[in-house]
Amino acid sequence: MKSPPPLIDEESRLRALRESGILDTPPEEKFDDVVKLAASICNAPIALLGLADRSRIWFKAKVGVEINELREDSLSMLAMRGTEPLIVSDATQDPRFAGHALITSEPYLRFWAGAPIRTEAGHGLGTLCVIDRRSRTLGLDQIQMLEILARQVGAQIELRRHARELERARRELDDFLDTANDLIQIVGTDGHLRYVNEAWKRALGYRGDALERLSSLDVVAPEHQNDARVMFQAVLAGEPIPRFLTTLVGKDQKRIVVEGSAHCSFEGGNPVAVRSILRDVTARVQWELERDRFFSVSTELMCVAGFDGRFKRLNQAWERVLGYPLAELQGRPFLDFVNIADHPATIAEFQSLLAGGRTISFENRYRAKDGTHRWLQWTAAPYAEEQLIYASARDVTERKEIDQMKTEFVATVSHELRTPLTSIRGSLGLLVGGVMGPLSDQALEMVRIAHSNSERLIRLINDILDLEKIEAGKLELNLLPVDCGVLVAAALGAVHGMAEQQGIELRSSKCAGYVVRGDEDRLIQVLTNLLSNAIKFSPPRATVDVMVEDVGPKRVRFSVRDRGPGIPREKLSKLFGKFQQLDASDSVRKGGTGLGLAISKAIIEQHGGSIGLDSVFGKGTSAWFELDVEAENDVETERALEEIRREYAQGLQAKLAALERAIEALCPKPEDESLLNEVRRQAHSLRGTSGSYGFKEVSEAAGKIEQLVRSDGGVRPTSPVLEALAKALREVVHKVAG
Amino acid sequence: MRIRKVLLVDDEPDLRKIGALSLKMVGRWEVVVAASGAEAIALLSEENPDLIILDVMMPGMDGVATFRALRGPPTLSRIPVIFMTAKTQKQEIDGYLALGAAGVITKPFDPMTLPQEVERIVAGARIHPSLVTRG
Repeated sequence: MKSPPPLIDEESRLRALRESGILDTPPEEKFDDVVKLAASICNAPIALLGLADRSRIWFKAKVGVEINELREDSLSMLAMRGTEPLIVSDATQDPRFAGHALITSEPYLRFWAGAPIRTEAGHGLGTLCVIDRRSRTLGLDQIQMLEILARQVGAQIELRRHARELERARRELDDFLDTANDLIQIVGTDGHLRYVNEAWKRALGYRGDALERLSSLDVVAPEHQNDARVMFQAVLAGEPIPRFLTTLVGKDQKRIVVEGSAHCSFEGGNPVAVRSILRDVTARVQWELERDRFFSVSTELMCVAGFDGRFKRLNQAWERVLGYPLAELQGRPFLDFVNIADHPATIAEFQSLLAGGRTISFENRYRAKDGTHRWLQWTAAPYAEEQLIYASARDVTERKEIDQMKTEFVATVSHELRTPLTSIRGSLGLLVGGVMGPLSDQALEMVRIAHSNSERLIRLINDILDLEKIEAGKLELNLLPVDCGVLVAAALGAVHGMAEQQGIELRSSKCAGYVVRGDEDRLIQVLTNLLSNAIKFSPPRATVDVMVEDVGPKRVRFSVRDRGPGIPREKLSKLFGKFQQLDASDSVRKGGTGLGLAISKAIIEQHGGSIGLDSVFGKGTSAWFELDVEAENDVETERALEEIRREYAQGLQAKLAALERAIEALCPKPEDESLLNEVRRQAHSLRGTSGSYGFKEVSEAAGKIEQLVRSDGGVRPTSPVLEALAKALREVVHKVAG
Repeated sequence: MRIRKVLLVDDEPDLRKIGALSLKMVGRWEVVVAASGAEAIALLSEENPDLIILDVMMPGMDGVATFRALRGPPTLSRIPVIFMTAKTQKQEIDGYLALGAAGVITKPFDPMTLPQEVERIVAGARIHPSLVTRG
């Protein structure tokens, strides 16, 4: 006899017993049959099927005795722990069972034979035993039958345990599928729904019987049914569909858009069912639909472009504005459609986007299919993580054309006004100048009024043209290092007469030494304008101060201060607008055009500077502008260069003087006299060259001229030589003086 | 060079009259006028002026065409030419100078200072462009 399994297994044994779910269940025929069979085979009056719970033996089936459970059953416990049947011929003679309830009371057993009931894992669950009231024994075949029956009982109990486990697993799976938000369905090969989860039922509203009768096609929207049929056949043929979009219709006719996949399960090569997981994307699709409608209805040209410079997505506005079918634009580099003249600016803008910048109000021209071009004004932002640029453009062609027309109109009108004005002013000028003889005082007075007003009109036209040029971006600045002292001196020179006339003293201080980069003529124009304003508004015999001072490490401020009446604070900023004057009568009294400050502001801003007015009402006004000073190195270099040029030019002057003497000595034929005159005049005019520009040209030309004079053998040049000489000199003079 | 006689070419009768008056009365020069480039060329050999003042914008043969005709054979004149224009763009003025003009005077001109300006140009003095282009 083998030793009983260790008691350490008691807990897992009990768990196996409980998991079978057999304890305390009503009698069952299949177990009753087993005990009857055991009693019959063993020819015993009593047979029991007992299962060993923690502290009792519970009888599932019995024959010959009415008993449900026993608190103690040493016989069963012993038999259960063994691997082979336990046979006790006369229990009364065995001290191990003394006091056993079945021995000491009804049925007063003497004979007990039991076979252990085991699980597959070897846990003893109980015994199948036969009992007699007399001492006896069993035949070998009877013992074997008892064992077989016990094994059958064990198998039955195990089966029951497996079934319960399966059931639990299935319930878990159901719960799991039912808590999913996605719609899950399994469709048989006949097209009928075999399984749907709770989300499916909720979404489509079918439950119970209604669901039983449903084919999977019944919930597909009519317009999608053909596709669904084709797809179903494809899936059955072994072609899974990883992603599809379709519309389902619920019991209450509510439509939902679903996105999902379909796969087929196979058994032995044959399709069994089609599984689908569907997600309700109605809200998303609706949102996308709305977005796409906005996208396509927009009059703005919208697009997504890659960092590679190619169009990825465009809206219909492109088709409408440029006339290309979208397919012709899709995937193409956008630069292919940009007017070639706008390529550099467009590339620069694109590079700034790649570097993370944003585009606001950038304008370029796109070529339309019909060969014309459209002006587009852009707003764009880059998304580096996606390597995409989202951009929106507005067709501003009409505005541009109107601007252009306006510019041309202003230019034409102003120009056309000049011709008659030239006559008016000219005639009046001659009259006022007394050229036509003396006029009466009254007539002279009238003619003077007409004359000064014609001059004002001319200034006005000049200013309008200037402003128009600046605003149209047609004003090209000739940027060079300029000494501030030179600017101030030139401006003071320009207003000197005016100041004298009004008895105004002009004072300047601390002006030299600063160098700014700017257009000399234009800066003089601004400074002259500020000065003439200051003079105009100064009381008689007052002073006007000009100064230049640094207002930062790299910034210099020009200011012009008068001691006039000052300007009320609220009018200060307005004065930079067009035709803005302190009061309407000023324009007549002071002779201004009302455009001077607007022009000055435009010029200074184009220089990257700022301009303003500070005023204390009743005390005076300070008009100022600020510019960046040239970097020190540049100034140094420029000064050194200037020095070199000056020396060079001095050398040139000596050379030119010698040249002039050589020309003077020439004796050409009489008919070439006028030619020689021109040569003399040109050579003479070169002497005034300051040396700050054109040194290269002068030097080259001087060399050329010397060569010409010498090649001719000196004193009797021919016409062609003189002509070449005149031409060479003319070129130099124009370059240097122009 | 001393100016004795000036040829003024302009299609506008008023401006011809005013210009001529200015040159005559203020400049004290002899003045010959022509209403077109062709007329100017026809007058040239007969009058033999010391200076030509040539309007740029003329119908038919404009100032530039007239200038080219003057400079090229068969006329082959080397008489200094001053252009007169209502356009004020620097680029344009530079263009005329490069062509070989002695100078450029912009309209509207001041008849009281016109001869002075002409003399300055003829003297070949270097004049600040801003002064040249402002009437």
